[in-house]
Amino acid sequence: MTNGASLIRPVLIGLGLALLGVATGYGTVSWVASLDADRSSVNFADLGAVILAAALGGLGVIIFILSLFPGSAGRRSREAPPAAGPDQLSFQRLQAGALVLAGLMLALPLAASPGGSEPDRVVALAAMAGVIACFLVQTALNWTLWRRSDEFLRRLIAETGSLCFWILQAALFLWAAAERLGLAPAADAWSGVVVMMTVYLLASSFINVRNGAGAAV
Amino acid sequence: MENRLRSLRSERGWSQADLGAVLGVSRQAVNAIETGKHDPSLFLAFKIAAAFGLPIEEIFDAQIGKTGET
Repeated sequence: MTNGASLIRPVLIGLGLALLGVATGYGTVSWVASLDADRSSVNFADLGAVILAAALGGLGVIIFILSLFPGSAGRRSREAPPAAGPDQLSFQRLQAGALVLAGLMLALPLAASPGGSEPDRVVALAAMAGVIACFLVQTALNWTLWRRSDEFLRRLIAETGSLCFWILQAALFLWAAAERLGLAPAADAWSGVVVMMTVYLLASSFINVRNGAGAAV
Repeated sequence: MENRLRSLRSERGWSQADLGAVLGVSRQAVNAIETGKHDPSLFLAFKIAAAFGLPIEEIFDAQIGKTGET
């Protein structure tokens, strides 16, 4: 029989997924609304960045919400371990912070130049300062996460990095060759970052699920 | 590498989180070792052996000589 306590986690996950959906929908609609009326400025890299930013931020919010309920945060397998300890909870909050900042870093350039328009110089500098601030804090969080990870989580992080490098260097080489031969358009750095982040998210999910690590990002 | 971690842990009534706390690793790491998805480092294997008060070879079986692997 299902008791009230066992309902907390699915309800929280549902709430988190709903938030993720709302964030993705709002971001996509806001971005589309900012485009020119003839939609000629549709940029798939920007669309991808909107979805990625919403996904990263939403995932961070889900992990943070789950960390507020220790009784449910530690339950990730058929085993029934007791509540997650304070170390695990603070680790999850660090993960949540790193994810939210990654989403913010992607969203800031989009917000400063809606529809791909050239932003005002002051706005551009302010957005860049925000990106750099987020980057520095996120780097510190990632470094802390690495130092606090055990050997299993470090292995997953290293495997994700290796898989991403293998995929991305192959893709970059093939694209560069095609571009050099006039068979593909020139790639820009923003598109490259969106592709890289997408590949990283997919690779991370694949490796974590394959190793039964749940939300270990 | 096969191991008896799950049965040894169950015999003592420990959860994965309990064992993880003793070993200083995450619950996910304990689960990965039990399911054969992660081979622990030598240092962690010694810690596991110490936690159960058993020699390493009574917990882990590298199956050396059984499959031709070295």
